[in-house]
Amino acid sequence: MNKYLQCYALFFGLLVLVVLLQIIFYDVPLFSVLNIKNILLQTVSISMMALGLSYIIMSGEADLSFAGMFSLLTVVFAIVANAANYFFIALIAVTAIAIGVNLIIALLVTKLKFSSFIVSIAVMFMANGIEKHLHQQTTLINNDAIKSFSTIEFGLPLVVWLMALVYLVSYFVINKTKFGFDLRVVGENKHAAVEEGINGNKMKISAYIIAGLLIALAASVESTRVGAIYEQGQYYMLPVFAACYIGYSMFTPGRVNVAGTLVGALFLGIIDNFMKMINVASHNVYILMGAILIVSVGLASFKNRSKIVQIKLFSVEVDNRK
Amino acid sequence: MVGNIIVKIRGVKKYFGATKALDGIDLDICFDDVHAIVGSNGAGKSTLMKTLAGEYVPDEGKIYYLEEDITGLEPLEIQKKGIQVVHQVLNIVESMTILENILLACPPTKNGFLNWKEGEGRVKEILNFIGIDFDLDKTAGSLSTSEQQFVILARALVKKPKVLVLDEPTSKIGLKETENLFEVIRKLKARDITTIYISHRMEDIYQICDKVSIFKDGKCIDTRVTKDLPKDELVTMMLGKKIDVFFPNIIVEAGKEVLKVSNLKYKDKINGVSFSVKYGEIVSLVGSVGAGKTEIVNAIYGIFKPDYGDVLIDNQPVFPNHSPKKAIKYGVALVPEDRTMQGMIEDYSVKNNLTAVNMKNISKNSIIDSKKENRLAQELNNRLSVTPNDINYVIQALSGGNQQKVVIGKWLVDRYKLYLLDEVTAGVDIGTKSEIYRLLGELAKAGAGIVLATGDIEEAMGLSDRIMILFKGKIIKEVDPKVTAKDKILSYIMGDEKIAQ
Amino acid sequence: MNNQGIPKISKQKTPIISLQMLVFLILILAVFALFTFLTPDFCFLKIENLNNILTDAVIPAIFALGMGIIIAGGGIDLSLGHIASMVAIIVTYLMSRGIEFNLALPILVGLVTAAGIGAVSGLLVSRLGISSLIVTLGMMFLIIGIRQIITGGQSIYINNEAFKRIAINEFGISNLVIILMIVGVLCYLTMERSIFGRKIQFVGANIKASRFMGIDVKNITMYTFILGAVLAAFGGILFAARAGAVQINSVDSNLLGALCIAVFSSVLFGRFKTSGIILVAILISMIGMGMSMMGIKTEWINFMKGLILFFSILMAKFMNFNT
Repeated sequence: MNKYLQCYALFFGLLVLVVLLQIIFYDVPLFSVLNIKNILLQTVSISMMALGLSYIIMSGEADLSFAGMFSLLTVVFAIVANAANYFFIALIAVTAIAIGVNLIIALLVTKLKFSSFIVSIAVMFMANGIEKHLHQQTTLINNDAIKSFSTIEFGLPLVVWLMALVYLVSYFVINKTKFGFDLRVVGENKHAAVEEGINGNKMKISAYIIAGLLIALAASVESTRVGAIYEQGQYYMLPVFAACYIGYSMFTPGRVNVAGTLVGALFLGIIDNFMKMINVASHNVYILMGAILIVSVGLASFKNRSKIVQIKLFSVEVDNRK
Repeated sequence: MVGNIIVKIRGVKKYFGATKALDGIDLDICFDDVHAIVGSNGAGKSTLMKTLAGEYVPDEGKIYYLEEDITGLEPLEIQKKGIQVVHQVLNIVESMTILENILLACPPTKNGFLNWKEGEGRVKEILNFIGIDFDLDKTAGSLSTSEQQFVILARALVKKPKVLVLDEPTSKIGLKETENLFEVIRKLKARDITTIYISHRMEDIYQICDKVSIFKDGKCIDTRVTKDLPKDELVTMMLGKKIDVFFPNIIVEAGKEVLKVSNLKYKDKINGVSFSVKYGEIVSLVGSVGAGKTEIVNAIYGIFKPDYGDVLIDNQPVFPNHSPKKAIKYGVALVPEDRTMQGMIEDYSVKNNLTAVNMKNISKNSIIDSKKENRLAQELNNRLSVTPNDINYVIQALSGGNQQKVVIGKWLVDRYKLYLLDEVTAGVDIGTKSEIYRLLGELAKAGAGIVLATGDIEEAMGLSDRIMILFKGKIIKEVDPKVTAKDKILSYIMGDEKIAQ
Repeated sequence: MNNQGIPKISKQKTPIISLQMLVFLILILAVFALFTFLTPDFCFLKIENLNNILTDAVIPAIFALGMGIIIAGGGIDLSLGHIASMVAIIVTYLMSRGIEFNLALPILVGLVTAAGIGAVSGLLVSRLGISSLIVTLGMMFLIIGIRQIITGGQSIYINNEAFKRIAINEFGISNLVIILMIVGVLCYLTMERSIFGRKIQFVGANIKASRFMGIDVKNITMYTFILGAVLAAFGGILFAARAGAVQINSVDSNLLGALCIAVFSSVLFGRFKTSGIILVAILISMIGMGMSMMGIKTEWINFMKGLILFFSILMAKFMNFNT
């Protein structure tokens, strides 16, 4: 009982907080229809990246590469869009690259037992370097039709429906299928997975591929919305991680979960939007987000606060099978 | 089946680098037997079982199951054939429920989606068979180690094995649960299920096993019918030589009080414990797993804060603000329960581990003097006859018994007033055991007080001046080993109801 | 049996020139030779170039030493670059406000500030049990915000000549190199020869066992963050002295290079090896210098750093080293 209370307490706490904000700043149209659409639109790419990261964390790995890959992919999307003038060609190109890179990372991590942490940092560097080289050649997407992709609406913007679909599907996959179950087992106790015949490598590779697809979608959406993102990838590190880890303390006892990540992403989106509307400068938003991240994880780990969490830089795995 | 043999192992070899973990194993397991495998640490028992389970592939040799060659198959395939292994390390998924943990390999689905309700019936049936009642929705992480052992057992049984391998199943469970387990094994036997039972414990083997195979240095020395094999012959075969006397003859004049524990309480693990130890005394805390031994010594050493109670070291109170650092300052040493995770820094050398506790001895102005370190480490290595005798060896590369010597060794640098030893001979071969006992005798003679937390009754009886029997976090009886019979102590440990009141 | 892949002789207490070190020195010489041939007119070989390589390596090396201490203790600090820039801003600001007669005071204030920030991170990690990844990620953004508030986005130019002298060639060899040598010796003594350093390494290797051996793991963990932050801040101050000005986010990028060097070194040489870190920094500086002399554009530098990280883990696999 106590545990369930803790799980939902944070959720309701955030809800109350948001409502309070609206009440205090009553003249700010936080919950107008237009604004809600705005918030959702702005949150799409971060929430999809956070979902991708969640898959990877659930499978037991870590990933920082998205910080470099995201901006690179937006630039690639812009280039291909300008060259080919078709949205879907650009989308396919970006997806292929994202999945390809993630597949390589996944293989390095599973077959060669590299530490996902270090590999992802290396990829982030390399993506950053390539992006710097590329963005001398292009700035924005020239094709208006493609640019307007993010404005197509069926009540809500198409991309918002996309985000909802992706989350809904993920919720089912993670919580209601054998695949999701196996994935979680691998992430939480890889020895148990080995003993019970769950193919850990297959699970991790799948997680990386899904994450690749998601970041491709996120980059495509963001590229049509605001153009290419120059080296701002590192500023996405925080909201994406924060979204996953706000969700960490919610709904399930201390593990990253789908619903929690969505709530986290939306919450951060609301805060960001709100700050903009009352004219708080973005650096103050960073301060707030930094604080939120630390506080939310602090709350979740409070029970285990006497246990210091260390970073494993190298996976010292010895494969004795063959 | 030819000649009633269900599992046939022929010439299996497995090398890890230069180490011959399995050096040509030949073994027959008969249908419907409860077949024990004994041997010192490193003899190859667990390695063979992992090979049987498909986790390792043998470098040479073959394994046959019902005449079929199963060598080199994947773990999942071997499980499908009907061989299930309950490993020593309990791999439960802490955040998932008991139901989910038991059905980990075969989660029930309906129309492609998970449907846990469907699996409840099956699981309840198995738990009934085992004789245990669990709330299936509880998370596995909230269970005690003993309960977790049964969850893993259920996980194996739910897959309807024909051969069940149990690797040290009683090491983590209490005596009542052990009886429970034996009952399960008997029931399995009645249902024509073969059991392979790996254990260190003589009592287990003689109580439940039909046959026993002795492993030594990666080979199977012999297989005998248990009831026809006298105990000391078994021990001799395990060692390869005759061991006469384990325990040193210790006669020490006890001095004044070094340790006084009053009314110690901690959650439901320690329920009001009081005792005292004098200088030169060896006092045993004996009890089954979960009785509270580790918690008591850890509390005395300052690993955690108990809810209530006082501890005096040489008449000085240690609470509040206790910590291992303070304990050491007060002259208390602790050899912890888990050697690898708690007792040593596995990546570092023997020398670094030996000098880890009081580095002031080998340094000047906080800078470590490597010559002093080398000298000190070499002295200890010699004194303890650590093999191989190289202080620069990475401690992880040593055998279990030698590792334990190094773990204890660091506490020999200074003179401590009180030694707390938690299962100090667990997983240690018999030769090293007697060396450790000799060492303890020397320490007592030098005047230190010793608290020996152990589940091994013979060890307690052979070494201590007094034995305190622990049951469910309480000291229910204090006995004098010289005048009390072993089975009386055993019955106290099992919680004879009348006495527990 | 777990003897596979475990080196029998401990790597932790090897002599100053070990086998790995020798191999690495040969590697450096090989790369040097390579660039000598690849650059036009062999300009790589000139003496000023050698001095430049060493000088360019100083600041990354100091950052890497700071990161290395934290990694040795089992944590990580993503905010080191930002701490350094914050301190550089504070120091130059204080100097520009007329505290010209005393160079030491602003620097002291800066280092103390860094220690404070490191202490906060360290406390969050050691007392609240939050992963250092999360704590320092959050801290990074906190600093970005606070820094913006302090400076209002403007650069600060340094007028103090004495300060700028830190970075010039005093005795034929850059002052920075001398500073690195001093810092290096201090790091060596602290991390590799002192009880304190040994405790840090133990905590990073096995925190449970360290606790049972009476090591105050909470405080040790916190100290690593303080030391790392102070070293990073020192690097930031040197960066400012060399550049002559401080732009708001110019120091940030040092973090990733520091991580790269520290990881590479710990793979090759063991948990913490001062000489290893410095040598790796020199190698990377050499590669950067060589590449720019060959006319390769700067954006590939980051790419190259990533490649080097890959390379280092690859080496770890094949040479089967533990940390």
